[in-house]
Amino acid sequence: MKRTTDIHGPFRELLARRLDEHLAPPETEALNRHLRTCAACASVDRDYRETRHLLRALPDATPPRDLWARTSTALDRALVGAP
Amino acid sequence: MKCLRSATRLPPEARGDDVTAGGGDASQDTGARACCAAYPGRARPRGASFATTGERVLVRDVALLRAAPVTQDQAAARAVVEQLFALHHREIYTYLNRMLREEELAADLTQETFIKAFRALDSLEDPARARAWLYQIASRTALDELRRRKIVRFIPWTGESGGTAASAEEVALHRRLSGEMERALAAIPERQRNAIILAEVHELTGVELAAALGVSHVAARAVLTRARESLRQALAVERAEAAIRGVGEAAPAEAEERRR
Repeated sequence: MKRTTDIHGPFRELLARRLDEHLAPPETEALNRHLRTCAACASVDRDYRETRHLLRALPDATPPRDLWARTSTALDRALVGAP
Repeated sequence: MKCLRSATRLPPEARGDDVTAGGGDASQDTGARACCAAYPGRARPRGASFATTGERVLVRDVALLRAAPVTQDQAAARAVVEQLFALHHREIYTYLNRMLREEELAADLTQETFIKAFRALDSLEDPARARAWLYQIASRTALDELRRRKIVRFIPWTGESGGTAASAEEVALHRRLSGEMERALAAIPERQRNAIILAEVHELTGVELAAALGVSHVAARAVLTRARESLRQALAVERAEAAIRGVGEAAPAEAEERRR
């Protein structure tokens, strides 16, 4: 079991890194070669992409309209209290 | 600054309202709109490096602040923070709301973030990284609050994003997925949760994430990699449990149906 984890671990890390940055050409080549023969890692690749999609679909929140007024007042207080 | 998320998800009209509501002057408004015009309705691509008018003004003002005598710079510092607020308060509020799931608390902590920014403006060494610097302050503020209050809940996905009318089935699907994601996020370590929300939801670049987390780029990448795997596994567990619950809930109904 540990051996299986060791085999796939580096590729899982590459899959995660690939979402954030360009991999070096040898890394990309090795990863793609592995994905062609490893259904488990291909599934993880799909999971990572789905997770990213779900997270990025979360809606923005709308701040309260008086947030600046409150912050401005607090800034004024901080300004008065500043040395 | 590479990415200006305060000006990414909403159309310029809506965003313009927000910026001016922040008390900004014309230059701030122009800056936000310039960004919107360049990337209407979507996030600025990672790696884009031009500065908006608002950002250029910010860089200029921070430079002036650096040169001002200590006794005269408090008002100038306030003006800089006012610009930072106009540019970034919406995304900071969204981030804090997502982390804490309490609107009023998120508003309080957004205010606190900008007050801390005012007091620590000297530590903003590169105005081009003001966004990541603000996230760093907000992140520490949120984690402190989470530790203090032990809040682990998250805002459910309402399915209201996307800008197009969704069918009832789509809304129901989004709500189910949101619930799963919410519980999965709650199940992973706090630090990892923070990293993946900042990276994926708020789209911080690797450098920005490292700055926000206050760690090296390599360390930030390692946390994010662990977070992706933790979240994947947590989501799988959540879905398996949901399936079991679904079977459990369906079984009595099916038994009742058979009795009839």
